Amino acid sequence: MRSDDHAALHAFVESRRTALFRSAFLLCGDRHEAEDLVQTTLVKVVLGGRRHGRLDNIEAYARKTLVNTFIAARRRFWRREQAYGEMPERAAEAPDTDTGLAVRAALARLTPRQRAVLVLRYWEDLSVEATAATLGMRENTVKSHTARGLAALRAEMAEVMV
Amino acid sequence: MSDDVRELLGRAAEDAGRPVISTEAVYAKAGRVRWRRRAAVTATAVCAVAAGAFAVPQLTSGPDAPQTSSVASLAQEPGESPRDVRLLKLLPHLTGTVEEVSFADIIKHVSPPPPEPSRTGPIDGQYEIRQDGGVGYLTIDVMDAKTVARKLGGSPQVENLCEPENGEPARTDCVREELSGGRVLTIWSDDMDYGDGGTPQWGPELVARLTLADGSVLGVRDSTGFEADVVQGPMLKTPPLTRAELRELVLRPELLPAK
Repeated sequence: MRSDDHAALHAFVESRRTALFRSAFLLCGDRHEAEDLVQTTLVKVVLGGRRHGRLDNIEAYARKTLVNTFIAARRRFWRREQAYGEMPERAAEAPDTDTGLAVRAALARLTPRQRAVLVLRYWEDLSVEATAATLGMRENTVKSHTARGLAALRAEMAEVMV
Repeated sequence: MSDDVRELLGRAAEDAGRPVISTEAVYAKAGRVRWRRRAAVTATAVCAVAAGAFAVPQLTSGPDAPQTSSVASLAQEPGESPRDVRLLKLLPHLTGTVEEVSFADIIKHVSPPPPEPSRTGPIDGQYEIRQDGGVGYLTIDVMDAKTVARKLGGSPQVENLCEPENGEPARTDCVREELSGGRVLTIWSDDMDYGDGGTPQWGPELVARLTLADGSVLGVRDSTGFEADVVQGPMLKTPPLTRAELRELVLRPELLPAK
């Protein structure tokens, strides 16, 4: 790996940490789990970059790693419903906590894959095709997950989304 | 429509705040993973060349083995027996030792150590069980109905944990019992093999969940331990408590908050 690749990798980790954390938070709804997800993702990105000696489309690689790590972790029942070893809560910065809570409640009712589709499509602004490639799904599956996810959000947020 | 959705997701994402992990922490962790992989390769090579039994101890006690560490007991409330002492009294069949630990310390190596977590049950905590030359863990966690609802993000609690959900396979060896007073006890096995590549890699465990009529939940993990860069000792071959012992523990009233 060249030194400018090292620098690019370092800059990516530095600059994309918060953005990945927010996507992770939307996926899992828990700050601590989101921290773990982002750390696991970035460690894989760093190791992958060093191992392969190149940084082709690092953004896509990080995004794919994040959602797949999330989906794999969600299979672990304990994480889905009950965290262990609670870390101290940080003060929330939420200016609109009620709406945020309602959206997270709606997301929590979806399956992990449906949630991942919504986050990739509407938060990360990916196309159906790119979302399908990221999640290893058929495009029709992405479309059906999108429809169900939006319906759930719509039901939850009827007043906001009129 | 998509702008509306993005705006809603944006509001939900604002609640996240900023991550506390740093770039340095990411690189440090990546360094540890690389070190461990190299160590594993080295150990494999040693085994192949030596082709003898003497190589095996090197895997567990040589310089390439995970570091072991010990942790001091956590602070206890004045005037009360330490929680691990109280827990030990509830485990008459246990042959090993019990010591309260903090996963934030022994797994995440958080420095400085975080403040004591809030506890709902009198013996809530994370406990290291040393027996048969290994180290396993028990975690005890009572959540009141409000906390459960918050964790579930508004979704209802799953009625029967033994049934498959969301297209995922059913839990292994899952046994559900409806008990007096509207309580429901579910115990299952979890091999914890999720292949997500993270650390620590937890070993197999038994999991018990007691749901009370008021919606509160007592959860206990009976774990064989974990593998990581720094461990307290080798994993146990079986969880510290048998299924019957775990059941007996979960039904002890001493684990629940006083009425």
